[in-house]
Amino acid sequence: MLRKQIKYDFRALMRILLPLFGGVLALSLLGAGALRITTGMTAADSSIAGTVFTFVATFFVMIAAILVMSCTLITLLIAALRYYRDLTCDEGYLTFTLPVTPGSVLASKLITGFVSVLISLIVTLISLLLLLYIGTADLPELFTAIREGLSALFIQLASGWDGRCTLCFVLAVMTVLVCIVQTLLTVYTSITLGSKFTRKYRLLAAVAFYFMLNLILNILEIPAISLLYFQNYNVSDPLLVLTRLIGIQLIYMAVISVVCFLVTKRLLSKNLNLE
Amino acid sequence: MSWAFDASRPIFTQITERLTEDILCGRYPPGSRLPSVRELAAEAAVNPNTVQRALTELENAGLAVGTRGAGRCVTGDAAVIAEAQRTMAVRLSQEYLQRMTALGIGAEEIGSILEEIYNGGKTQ
Amino acid sequence: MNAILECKNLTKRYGSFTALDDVSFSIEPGRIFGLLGPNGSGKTTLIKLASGLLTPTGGELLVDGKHPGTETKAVVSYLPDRCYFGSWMTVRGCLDYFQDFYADFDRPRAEDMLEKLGVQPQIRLNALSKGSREKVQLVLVMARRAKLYLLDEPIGGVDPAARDYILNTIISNYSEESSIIISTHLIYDVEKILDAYVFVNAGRIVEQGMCDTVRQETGKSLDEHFREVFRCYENR
Repeated sequence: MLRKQIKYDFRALMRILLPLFGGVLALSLLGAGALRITTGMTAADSSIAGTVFTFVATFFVMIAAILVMSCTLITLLIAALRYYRDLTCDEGYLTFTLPVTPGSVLASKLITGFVSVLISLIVTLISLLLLLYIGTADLPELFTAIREGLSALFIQLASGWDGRCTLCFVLAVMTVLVCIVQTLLTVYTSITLGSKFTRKYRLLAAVAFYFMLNLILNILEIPAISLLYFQNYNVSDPLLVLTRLIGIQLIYMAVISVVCFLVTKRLLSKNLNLE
Repeated sequence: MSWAFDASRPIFTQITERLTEDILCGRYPPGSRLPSVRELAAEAAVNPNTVQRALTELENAGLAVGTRGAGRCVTGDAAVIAEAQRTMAVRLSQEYLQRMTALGIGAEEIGSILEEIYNGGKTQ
Repeated sequence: MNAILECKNLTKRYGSFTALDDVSFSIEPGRIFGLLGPNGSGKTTLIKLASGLLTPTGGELLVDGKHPGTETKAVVSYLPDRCYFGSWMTVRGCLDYFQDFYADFDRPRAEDMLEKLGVQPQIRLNALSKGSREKVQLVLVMARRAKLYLLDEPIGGVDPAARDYILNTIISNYSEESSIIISTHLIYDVEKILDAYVFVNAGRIVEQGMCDTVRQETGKSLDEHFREVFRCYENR
């Protein structure tokens, strides 16, 4: 049953997200084109029309870059919107009379939201690369400088790379993933809490709950971070500190995620407020 | 034919009456198959349980016979039908006479009125 | 045989407001049951409890002998008084959805009914009129071979032809192993297809019985009887 729920949830999300992703990629290509034109023009044309055009093109490139980078944010908002619609609006009558547990409803939303955000991150990355790679084709010096800088960085990293670096890297990746999960769950929990207490203002309440929840979680993180200094160890080793920091973040976020999941599951089972 | 029900009287009684009339007037000849519960319920737009009850009443009155697995048939017994027709005729006549008496019309006048109508119907 | 629905001292409170108060009754299989009462009397609350959307505050409710949960949801078919499909879904998409999640969904039957309605499977729901959308939802709900059908105000606000269609769909999907609960305040239109009923007011059962018995004993239609009974409540 969970597989089927995921199938339908995913379809509903992709209906909106695929055009979005396509648009972002298209926008990055347009932006890259505009950038090429700009760089091509500044060298050749210093008339008023040329300057105006350059200004407009540069402006367009900036907008494109901003939109590309907010792609992930938009994806998150859309996942939240679908959760809101499917669980607290009329469609909730369908969702909660299906022969499935509230836990699996939540799990399906989590899994599809997670995959969508991952895809949006990849799309953002590709878009930025396109923007940079195609856009700066006329500025070979800039590109060469970046490439050389990156190569130097990679060489330096590779020379001192060992098991501890791998550990740090793996933990960092895991932290990013768990961060996505935690963000989704805190959003979902806020939406469910928002609809529990009020019917007309549930969206507003959800936003309020989200801010409150984030505030509390951020405050609670401070004592968590103090665990960094739990044992006596060589504080001057930056890699160890970094690894510890990332590790604590990871555990903290994982715990928050589990708590949010269980709380929301309980709310959905016992306190459903569809009207 | 549409079914019109008076909601202030039991529905099953009205269905029984209607089916009885249909049988006695020959719309369902002796021995013929009566429609199934489902068919009647759909046609009359009533609850199948109500139809079931009505058909049971019909069976109790001897007008219908249940065949195992094949629904119900009108009884093949002509005597039963004739008897029921007579009973209905008597009842209708009683009602008629009651109303004529209330109008103050006596037996002789009734006779002549009936003859007029009967003959009038023949010449038409 | 198990009663299909059983309520024992069922109570539902929202904070200080009592929606249902000590409600007890049961429904045998093969019944078309009327849950009748004015707006706000607790009918919808009862239906939501039976469909598993709400949990009781006190007492218990059993569907086919079990407490509401995933097992009962698989045998209960619920028609709320609103559209619960995303308006962007196609009719075929809704059919696929029901077929995927409900083992008792009779797809050929649903397609047959939709064909008779003249609804093409590739149409999106938001391209249909409101009345057609409601009929599509009714078809999907009734095409399931469920044990308990919960219909919440199925004929509220429809024209007479649509009403006849709805009542006919209900009758033709009747089965002796299942029961149908119709919750409504429009008794006049619906009483001919009911066999048992319960009057509710302010969360309590005021009266229950069989429809034809009421007609026999009072010489009145169920609708007239309802008005009489509830006139007393208004005058209190």
